[in-house]
Amino acid sequence: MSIPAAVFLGYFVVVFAIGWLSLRRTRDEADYWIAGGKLGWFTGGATLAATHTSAGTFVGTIGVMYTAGWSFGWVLISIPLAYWFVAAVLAPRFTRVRQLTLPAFMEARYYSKGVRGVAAVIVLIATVVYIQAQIVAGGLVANIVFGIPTQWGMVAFTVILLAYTVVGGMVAVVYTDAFQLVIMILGAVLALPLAVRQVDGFSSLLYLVESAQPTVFRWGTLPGSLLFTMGLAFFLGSISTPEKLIRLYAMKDMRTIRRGVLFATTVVTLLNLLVFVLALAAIVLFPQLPTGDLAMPMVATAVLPPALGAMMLAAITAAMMSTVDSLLIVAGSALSVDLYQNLIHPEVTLARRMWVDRLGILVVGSVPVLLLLSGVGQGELVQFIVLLFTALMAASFVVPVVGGVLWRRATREGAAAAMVGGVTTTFLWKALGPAAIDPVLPGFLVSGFLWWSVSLLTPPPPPGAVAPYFVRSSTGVSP
Amino acid sequence: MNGAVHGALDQAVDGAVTGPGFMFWGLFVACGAVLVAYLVWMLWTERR
Repeated sequence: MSIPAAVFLGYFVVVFAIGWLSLRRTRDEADYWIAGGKLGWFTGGATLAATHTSAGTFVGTIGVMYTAGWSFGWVLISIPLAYWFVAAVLAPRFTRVRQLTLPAFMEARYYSKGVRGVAAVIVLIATVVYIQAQIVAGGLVANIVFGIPTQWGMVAFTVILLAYTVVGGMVAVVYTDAFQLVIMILGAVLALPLAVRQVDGFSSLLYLVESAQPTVFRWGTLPGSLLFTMGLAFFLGSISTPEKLIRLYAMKDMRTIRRGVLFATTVVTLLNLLVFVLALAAIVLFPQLPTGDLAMPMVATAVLPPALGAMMLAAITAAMMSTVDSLLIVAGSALSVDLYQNLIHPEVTLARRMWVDRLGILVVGSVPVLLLLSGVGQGELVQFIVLLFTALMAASFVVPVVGGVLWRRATREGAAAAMVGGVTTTFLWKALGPAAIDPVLPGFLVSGFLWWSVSLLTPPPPPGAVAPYFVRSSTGVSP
Repeated sequence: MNGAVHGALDQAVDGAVTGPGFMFWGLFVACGAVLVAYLVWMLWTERR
């Protein structure tokens, strides 16, 4: 067995073992969807950081920096600012009534099953397609490491993800995320000094990179409007995506959330800075790559020794898996809890709920790979929607969620209009609008305007429905 | 690869390369400042 294959096999064995052991700690639905709401700051922060860090950080981000230069790096500032906003403003209000899913929050705050249904459908569609693209990337990694056909790699990747996510739910995801975060940190920390040594040290790297790409440290390589709106997309995406919001319910109290968020944001910021410097090394070592997306795979395969290169590829896979497993939880709960148990078959017995929950994840995890194997969703469509994922989530949920805990007058009609209008505008802007402005800005603005204006034009919400979010109280988990 | 690196380094030092400056180091300082500010806010919140 080759060294990379052995490194990967060891990595998968540990992930699977953690998932299996988590089964014992999953006794009811609250355990299954939000880890019982008992996570401490370390596990809560680690799963938040691992979920935030996707393959995009290791491949896409480094690719943009390779092409556009260091000015793109300043977009990073929006991430710690976003998490600070979450800890200071959103979390204290959002967690007053603990729910199992984000659509359940929407029903509670906006006193409407219909609003919950709309939220669940948006989550389900966007998430399933996003998972599909990640599975394609997983198949490609399996092809590089094990030499198996990409299609078999996609199936294997899905089976491993489903094996521990279906069995252990959120508890399994949290602990595998913590392990995967360690792999990501190790991959980046060990790769950086070796890559920098190849260019004769850090100070020569900074001069060489400017020699190879004279504009690397200059403003203007990206339009200012695009930098600003990309920063806005990162900011809004960090506070609004369901897989991150649900982690606030999983941590046990506000003190834990504040500490967990600090831990997560520190790790995410440092990991990104490490990856940025790796991008500079890639510019010097491989100045003629046809696409920036090849920068990290080139560093992993051509610069690092085999074991470390495999570690780097494992880090990319870990980033991918830790994001996809969290999305499986979100999409599975949208299907089984929000749509099936809430709208279609509310009389389902408690004993059956756990099976329905598991079936939900199995279905949303299997559909993407089945679609891919039948030739649906490959190519540009998937990439198109992957790029839109954060913008869609931000345009759908930021205003109704953040605004919902800050403004009593917001109504269910306003929330529904904000979600539908935000999604529609984002799609239309991506298809027809100028590329210099990220679609998140028009999507967010339209969502906000509709939420505000429609709320004022419709009857105010019943005081009892919104009271829990505006009066200090502490309640348990309410499914 | 190191030979090529040395050649490019000599060329870079001789040429009009100004070095990274604020744009590069400023990002590290700015990220550090936000994280320290968060820490101070957290400790202040918990002491209230």
